[in-house]
Amino acid sequence: MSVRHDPRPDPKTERRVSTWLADTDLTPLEAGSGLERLIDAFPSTPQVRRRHLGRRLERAGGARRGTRRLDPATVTDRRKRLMFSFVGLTAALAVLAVGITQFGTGDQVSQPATGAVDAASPSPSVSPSRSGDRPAAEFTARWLFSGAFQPYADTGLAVNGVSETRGERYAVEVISSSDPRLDGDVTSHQNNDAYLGTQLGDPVFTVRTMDYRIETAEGAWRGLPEATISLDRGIADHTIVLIGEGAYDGLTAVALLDVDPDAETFGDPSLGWGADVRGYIFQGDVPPPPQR
Amino acid sequence: MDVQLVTRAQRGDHAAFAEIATATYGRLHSMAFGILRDRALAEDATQQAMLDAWRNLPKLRDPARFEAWIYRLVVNACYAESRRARRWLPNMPIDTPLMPVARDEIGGVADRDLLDHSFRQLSVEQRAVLVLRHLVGLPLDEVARVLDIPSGTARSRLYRALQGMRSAIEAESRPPTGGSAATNQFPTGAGTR
Repeated sequence: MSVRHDPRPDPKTERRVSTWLADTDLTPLEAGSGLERLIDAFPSTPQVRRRHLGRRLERAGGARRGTRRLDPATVTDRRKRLMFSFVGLTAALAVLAVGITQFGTGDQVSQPATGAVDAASPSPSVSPSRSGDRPAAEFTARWLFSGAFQPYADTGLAVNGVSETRGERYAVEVISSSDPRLDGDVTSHQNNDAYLGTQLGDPVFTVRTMDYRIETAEGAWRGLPEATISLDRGIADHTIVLIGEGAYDGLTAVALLDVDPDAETFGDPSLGWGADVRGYIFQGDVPPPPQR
Repeated sequence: MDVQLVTRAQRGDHAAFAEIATATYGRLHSMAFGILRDRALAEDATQQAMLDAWRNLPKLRDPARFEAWIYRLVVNACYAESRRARRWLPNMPIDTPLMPVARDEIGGVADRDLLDHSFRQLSVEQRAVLVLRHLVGLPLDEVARVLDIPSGTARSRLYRALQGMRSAIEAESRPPTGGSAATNQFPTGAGTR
């Protein structure tokens, strides 16, 4: 049980802390070597131009140690195969339905038919598939959980071995986006519970509930909150579901974020984590929760 | 900071940025060390912040705000370093009890150790406010601007930081037999565990 202390920090404590901070200050001599390295290094670092040049930063060196990463081409091929399978299956079902309608009704072929096919295909010709009704557009993006990290709630001290953080917000920098509908101001809000080890430096795991919001000139995407887990304090790979608003009303975007804890792999020395984002935008909603 | 120099660096002038780096590096490094209390991490954070500054300088709208901007980059770099580092965890409950400090015997050294230990109990956000206010010497409103937080939040963060340090100092200064008054955040050894 904690005991409350007098909440007023007195001027004496303030002076003491201030003096201590100044006393333990580093001398300029100790900072010398770091400065030399910096002056050697920065000329080879390109400057960025706001949302124009340098937005497409190539990954240097591929996957990092300990980072699971699929070959993007493999992922794309697999997804395309799945997509084509879905399209093919839908087309086959559509043709079958038309056949049943025609054979089943005999001379009533010319009459308006009922069922999903006609409802979905107002034109005289049978739609080759239902993909025309619910088109899905693939997109890719690269995001950087940049230095604009803003904790708006004070991080409290750990209670019973769990460090609870509430109201963290990241301004996510869009490094590149194949679909302009998702190229906007991205923010992520998070609440974290970090389960700490018993010794300094022990591994921890973090349970995190997070959501995203993307705002563009035409509309916005509202992310559904999702719980994720990572086996340290970092952010693990996770999926996102975004519900369209404004010009994107009726659309849903789903994506997998392949998070790389080392933003340097983007050739970018700025802060935070980078993420490869791959997903689809489609008309309609995600499936409803399963009933039990 | 000379606005002309910043403007030149924004246009990609290496010499101008080198001049800026030379003029500011020591101060920023001190600030990072103040927050992180680790020389290696502070070095990394400062270099990262300076590289980030160089890279993003063209995005800086008002060159006159360079100083506040670079402070923010350093603080953010410290946040990132504290997340990456495994050498310390800011909110870690300390299981290893500290021996009570006998300030009369070892004087200033023990006092510095005590302050250092108390400071390490603070969250990195609280440390940042404390350092910007008491090491860099910024007014509290400027601290809030640098951190992009409301003034009230900066004020409460500073207040909590000082309160936390005072509580820790008091708790650890007590004789071991008086441990029952210690908080669960800063256990002081015998009698509290």
